[in-house]
Amino acid sequence: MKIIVLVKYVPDIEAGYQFNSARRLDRGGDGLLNQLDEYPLEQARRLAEQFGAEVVALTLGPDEAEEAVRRALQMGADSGVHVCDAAVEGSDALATALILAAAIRRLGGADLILCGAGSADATTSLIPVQLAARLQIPALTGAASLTVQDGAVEIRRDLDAWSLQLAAPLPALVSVNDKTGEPAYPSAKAVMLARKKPVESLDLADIGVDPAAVGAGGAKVEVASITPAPARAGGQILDSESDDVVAAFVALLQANALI
Amino acid sequence: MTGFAVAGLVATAVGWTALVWRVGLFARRLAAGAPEPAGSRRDHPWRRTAAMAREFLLHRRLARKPVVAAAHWLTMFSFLVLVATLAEATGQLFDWRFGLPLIGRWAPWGWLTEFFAWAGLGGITVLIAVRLRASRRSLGRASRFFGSHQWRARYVEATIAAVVILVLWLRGLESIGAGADEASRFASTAWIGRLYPPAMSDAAVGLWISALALAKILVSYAWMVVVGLTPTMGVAWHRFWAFPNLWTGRNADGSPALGPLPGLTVDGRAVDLEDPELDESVFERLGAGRVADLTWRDRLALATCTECGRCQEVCPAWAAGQPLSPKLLVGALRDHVFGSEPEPLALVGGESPWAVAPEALWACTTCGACVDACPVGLEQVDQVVELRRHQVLVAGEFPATLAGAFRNLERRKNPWGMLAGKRLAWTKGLSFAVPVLGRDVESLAEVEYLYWVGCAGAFDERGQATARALAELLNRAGVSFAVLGADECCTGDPARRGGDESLFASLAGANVETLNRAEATKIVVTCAHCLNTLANEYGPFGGRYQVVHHTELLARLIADGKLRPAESADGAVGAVAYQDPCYLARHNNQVAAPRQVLESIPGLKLVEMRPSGRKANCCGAGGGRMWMEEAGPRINSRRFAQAAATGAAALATACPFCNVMMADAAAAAGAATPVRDVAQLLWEATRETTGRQITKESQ
Repeated sequence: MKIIVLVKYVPDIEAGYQFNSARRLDRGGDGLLNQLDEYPLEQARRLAEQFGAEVVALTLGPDEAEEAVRRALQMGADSGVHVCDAAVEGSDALATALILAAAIRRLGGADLILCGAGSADATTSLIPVQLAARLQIPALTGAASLTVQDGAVEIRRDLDAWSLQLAAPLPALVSVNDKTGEPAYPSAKAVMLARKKPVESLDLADIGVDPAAVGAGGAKVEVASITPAPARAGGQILDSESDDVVAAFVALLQANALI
Repeated sequence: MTGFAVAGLVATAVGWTALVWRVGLFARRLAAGAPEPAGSRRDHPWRRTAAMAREFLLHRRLARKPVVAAAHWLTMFSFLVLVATLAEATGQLFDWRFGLPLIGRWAPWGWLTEFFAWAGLGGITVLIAVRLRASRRSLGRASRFFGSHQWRARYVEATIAAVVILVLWLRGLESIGAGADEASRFASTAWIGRLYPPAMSDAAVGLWISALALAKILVSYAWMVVVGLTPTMGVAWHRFWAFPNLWTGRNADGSPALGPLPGLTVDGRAVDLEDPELDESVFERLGAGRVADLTWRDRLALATCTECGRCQEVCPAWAAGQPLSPKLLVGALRDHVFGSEPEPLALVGGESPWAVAPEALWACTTCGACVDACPVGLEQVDQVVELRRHQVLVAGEFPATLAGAFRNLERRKNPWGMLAGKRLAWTKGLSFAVPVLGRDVESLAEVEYLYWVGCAGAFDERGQATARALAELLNRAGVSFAVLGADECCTGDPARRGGDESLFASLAGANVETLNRAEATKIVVTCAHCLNTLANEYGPFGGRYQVVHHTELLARLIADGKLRPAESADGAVGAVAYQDPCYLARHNNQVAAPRQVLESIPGLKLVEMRPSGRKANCCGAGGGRMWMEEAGPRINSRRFAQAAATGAAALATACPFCNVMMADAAAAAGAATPVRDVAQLLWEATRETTGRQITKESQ
């Protein structure tokens, strides 16, 4: 069995995002493996343990994105593929799916393609379904658990009122959420072994994608503007050790017609 | 040859064979152990010999229980002296008038024998009584002997008692056969002879002596056979192994293995996990995962453990009702090494019949109380960390909550996962601007101290209050200092004690680079863990600094008159108990300064918890436990109860972890007892604004 896990290198969300003049996220600074991508990696690691599957981590991104692949290798992937080309910059989701589909075909396809519930930066969650459509394979999204048996994959998707069991024959694409199981923290041994695992770098020519079809020029979706969300108004804190504070609190609620 | 002589000689042959055969096995199992790092364990041979001799002669570690120490001292010396009586008894099988050549009929030798026989009898009687009393079934887990192999100890005690009684009895009979001119030799045993009929024939006396000599020989050699067949019987073997074990202690001066942890080694060689050329065979051998990873010294220590349970008695995790007992952990490892065959299965959590339970391994706070209490020089904390290193670095099996802390340390360089940019949040509300390196000062050469705020000081609300209090005090006393701000990282203490040496090395490396670039020399810290790591563990990374705990600096400033605490109009603080942080009091031997600071505050009455000082109980947060879930009964609650028992109006701490743990415990107990750092109490007493009651505002 061959599993391809899609991973993304994202800027550190808690360090704050910077946008450039073209209204694009600045990806040059300190980044890391998208945290939600640790869940499909963990699932792949478990399946590899169960079936002896081969796990390939695939990413599309600038030079720094290789770090995400390296982390994936520490977390159990056997090899990595990094698609990197200056012409990719500015691609929208459709173009991204096009490139990833071409890369997966170039890798000879896979029995199972795993991805996370979304990326911390763009949060479109569009890639899984667009990619499955391009590859003409079924997509099971939002898996809270995942099992593979007899050439088929079965997932559980939890909705508010129901829980669904969904199954599809392999090859298939599954996006998993953070309920599938906490990713294992890589041991030093895994980190050291990961140093020797191969990472292949591919550009658009290698995977047969026309640069004109992707990048800013090929994008169908345009970011028209970016406006920071208004800061939340500071609350009022009643801080006193005396009993008056309760009365003050009640008065405040009444004044605002909350009780 | 008489039947007595034949029986005696057979017993002698069997006994010595069993003992020598077993010593051979010990030698092979020790030789099969992994090497210790070059230059360790055997350096400074004279200092080591002196330290061992001191412990042997003075029993300073045993002296925590003075009665036991005295009884053990007498019993031990009686064994050393009375070994000679075994030779005497062997001779008596052939000729009941036999005496040792040269000294046998010399009165002082007789007195010495009798003194130590009586002393041994007294000593062993006390030890038997102590064991019976301390192992009462009603004590359950509270007994330090809970889980010890009691029959083994009772057998050894019975043997010693039988031997000394037989020595005295034999001497009584010898006094009958001896002439009147020799009567003085039997100063304290002649009365035993007089219990026999006055006109016993020589033949009858001879028969009695031969029979008792044979009994003595059989008792002694039976002991050799039994201990020979039971290599895990440390209570018997420690009389031999305690000497080499004490001699090969981690510290040549004989001090307990506290403070810094040894670095990561495989086969005695330091391992650099960042080295891309590192041989793959090393990957499986990090830390202690299987018997083969245990060094010869690890094995010697395991064989030496007497199961006396002093470690168990002082272990905060065990006392709280958690599954860890240092004694049982050591026993489990010992059984892996010294079974009929070494047990090849994993030491922790696996199928081995003696596997250490992961819950026990991860319950350790590395407080070091066990190491400090061990009379024969075991190094339990180092051993626990070696096991943890394997679980983290190789097996990848450890608590998920700890993995969360490791992730935070990896990504954000602090265990809370906060952003480096928020490291100066604590300075808000200070009466002056704290100089930050790189912004307000170019080099630390411009100021006297670097204040190493620590992650708790930067991010924890209680730690921030301590940091503010210290900053105000230093400012008031005119001490110039600066902080690193966003460039400070966790020292790596929780990573190292949690077993992640790789993470520790990366944090230590980054910090040493920052500190050396900033020309740091004098550093003041408010965290006992930061103190231990900065002062004791950065040497191998090229970082050597004079690190002072804030309580020591404050005590000095008070002594120099630069800080003058005063009683406020609002009244006295009252009784305050002080919680000694393990990494200050035990690991770094600093107990006086925080007390001096507290006692300098007018109206504050320092009360001592039981236990306190070097023997204080842990708050439960060391060894990475701060970030792990605590299953079952909590260590901090027990410690808080000890504080509450003093009747103190407030609890003072000198470490942010103690502060958080004690405040949590107070809240859980529904107690209103304020928990404050020593610096906060001093600042309350020093600032000239109204009141220094412990107010909400001072938090």
